[in-house]
Amino acid sequence: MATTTVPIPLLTLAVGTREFGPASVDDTTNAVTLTIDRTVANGLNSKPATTTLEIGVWQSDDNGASWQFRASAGLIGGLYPSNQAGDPYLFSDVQVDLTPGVGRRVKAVTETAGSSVAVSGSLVIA
Amino acid sequence: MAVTFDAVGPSSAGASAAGASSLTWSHTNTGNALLAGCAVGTGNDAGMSTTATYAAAALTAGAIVHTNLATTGFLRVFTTLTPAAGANNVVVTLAGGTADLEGGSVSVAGAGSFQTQYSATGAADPATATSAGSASGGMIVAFAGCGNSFTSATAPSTSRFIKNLNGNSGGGNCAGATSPSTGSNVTTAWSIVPDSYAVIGVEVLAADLGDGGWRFRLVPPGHSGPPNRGPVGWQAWAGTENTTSATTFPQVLSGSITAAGTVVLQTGKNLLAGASTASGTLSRQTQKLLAATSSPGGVLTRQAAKSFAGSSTPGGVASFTKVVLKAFAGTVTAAGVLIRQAQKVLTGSSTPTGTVSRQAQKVLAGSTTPGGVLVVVRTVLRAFAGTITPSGLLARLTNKPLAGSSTPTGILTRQTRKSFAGSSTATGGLGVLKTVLRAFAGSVTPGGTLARLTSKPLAGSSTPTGTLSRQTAKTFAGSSTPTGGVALLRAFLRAFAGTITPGGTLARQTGKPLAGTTTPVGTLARTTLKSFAGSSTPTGVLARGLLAIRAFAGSVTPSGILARRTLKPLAGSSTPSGILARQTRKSFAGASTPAGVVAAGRLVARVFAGTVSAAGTLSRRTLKSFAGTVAPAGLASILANLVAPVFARSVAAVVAAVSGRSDHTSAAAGISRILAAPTSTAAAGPAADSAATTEPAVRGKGDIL
Repeated sequence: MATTTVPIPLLTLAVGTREFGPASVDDTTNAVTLTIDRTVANGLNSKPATTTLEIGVWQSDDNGASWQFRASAGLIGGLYPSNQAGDPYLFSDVQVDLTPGVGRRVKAVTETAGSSVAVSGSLVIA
Repeated sequence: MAVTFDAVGPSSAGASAAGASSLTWSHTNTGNALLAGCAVGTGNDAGMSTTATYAAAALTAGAIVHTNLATTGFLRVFTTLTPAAGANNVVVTLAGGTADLEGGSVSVAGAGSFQTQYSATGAADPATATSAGSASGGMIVAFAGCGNSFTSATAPSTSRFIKNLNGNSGGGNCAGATSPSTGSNVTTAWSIVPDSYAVIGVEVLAADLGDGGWRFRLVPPGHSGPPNRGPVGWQAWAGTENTTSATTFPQVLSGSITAAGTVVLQTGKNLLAGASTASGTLSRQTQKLLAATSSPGGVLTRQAAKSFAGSSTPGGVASFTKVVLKAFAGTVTAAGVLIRQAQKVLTGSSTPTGTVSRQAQKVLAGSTTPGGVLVVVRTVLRAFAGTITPSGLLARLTNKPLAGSSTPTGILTRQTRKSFAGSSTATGGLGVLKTVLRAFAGSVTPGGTLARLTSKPLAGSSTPTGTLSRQTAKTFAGSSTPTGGVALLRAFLRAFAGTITPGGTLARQTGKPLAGTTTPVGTLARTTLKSFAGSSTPTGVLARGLLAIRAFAGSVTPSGILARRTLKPLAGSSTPSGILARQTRKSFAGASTPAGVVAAGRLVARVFAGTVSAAGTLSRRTLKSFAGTVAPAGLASILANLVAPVFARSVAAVVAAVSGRSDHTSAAAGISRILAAPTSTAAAGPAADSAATTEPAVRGKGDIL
């Protein structure tokens, strides 16, 4: 089972939509994890709650001719406790399985609102 | 038609978002009902809540259930019976912060309605919850949230999705499963790594296809379009919202199926509207509940509790009941339909009918034994009627306001104030009370039953009994200490009886009419005047008062207690006290202006004291008595008998001394005869006036006496 990774380099996302990928997916893999590092400079943890970032996973079963939405997570700026100890979230992610098929492709889509935000992360299909 | 599984979204792996404020996933639906579950995991979920939509349409949210009743995560289930067909997104939005969100959705076909959600929490393996019964043909859809991983769903449940995200909190993992309804309790369970969990189950009831294969559907009034996809429990195609399934409604009434959701609402509407009469199981169950021979349980109890606890918003009849109870409790002010209906019944412009009327009448008539609230109502009414003696809480609650140890509040106070202030029209018992008080205040004249009922005890033709009599007797016997109005009444009566000396307000209020600074009006004045005018026969205290006045006026001869009471102060064997003493002293001291009998007494005394000259009637009366043209009575008689012989002996002694004769006794007898001889009114008048206006002459009598 081959794992596919699409890196998301450190960059600043301006307000608006941006896509990462697409990447071809091995027919035997289904689980997709799209992760964003919140701790980078000017990242989500340093932003106010008015800065939002929607990160979504899309799947194509026809080599990118058409795309189907699979799942997304809405992220907001600021520090939030991740556990009872109060440790802040260092990463945010969205996880979803692809529907089975052959010749599939996957991409990540981000939509930034409020203000620009720096991100770094990855799209992993395993 | 049984409920069948349609699809899971986004897949059997569910979906998750770490450190997020929303989670969205795709669900392709071809069924007619959709249920979504979402677990929230965080370090502290205080202030957090979730909502959800499908295809941008809001889903109905169930209650939030915290895993193991802690605050590190919770589970919530969302439902809809009208999901859009095709691939659409389920969007769960978290309010109150950022957390780990995991969820999935299940769509089913053949659904008619949802039963009320049920739940369970714990921290041990397995994570499980059991329905309170089930209806064959339905389906149980359950979701679970846990602080640790789910392994699998336990048969007969079928796992639909499992999403294990993390063990950072009490809600980092989520799962969903379905189970067929068996007609009895259904348990859904998952094997877990032991940790805090919450399970929420929903039974999806099968749709009713109705007679002849018709699909019945609840649509808004006026709806004329073709039926939409998917069977629902109720028809509206005949044009009336209350038209119900020819199959389902009889089944509900007969008890062969359990009413739920829309069925309950429609059944309630029909019964309330009088479109149908409860019978069979429904009627029996209702009567049992009213009679308190059975207690509502399961879903009914939970829903009622939630509604009144405020954790859910009641609808239909429950909503109405809650408003009524809050209105009685004074936490809301009744308005609109509620107040109008209540007023209609109280004012008699409408008469409660149907089951309510029958049940109330039976209870009051004693042909059935009331339960619950009806027991309280009946007890209160019987206590007022005097057929029972209130005790315990009822007695205490009744006595407290009367005794002044508690103050009525809320709607009772407001309504009472409004009624007595005249800003609203008092009716029913309040109206009677107002009339009684106004009659006592003199602003109205009691008539009819009120007059008769008031007159009877005063006239002695009836004797108060029961609680009133006993309480009054205890109070006046001193075995209990009255307060408030009763205490005032007691003090008033004791002041008249002479056992206490009135002071403060009581004395002032009593003294004013006696002193003439106020004039009694209204009923009191009329009643008193009638009595003294002889047009009515006074009784009780008034009769004794009239008797005393007439005794002073000389029209009757006092005897017994009255005579003794009157004679004792005059004879000096007792000393008048209290208001009588004070008023008399003031009058004679000139600090107040006496009136009536006191004024007459004062005038007589001043005449004898020489500070005024007798004139007019007083003078003539006195002279007539002394002249013998009228027979003196009362005090005049005493004076005549004492004064005339002594005066005669004195004059005779003077005559004897002047004439040198010593038989002044014979002379005195002659003078006495002269004084006692009848004289003409014309001759007596000037002489009497002269004597009355000559102060030395009067003092001379005193010197001789």
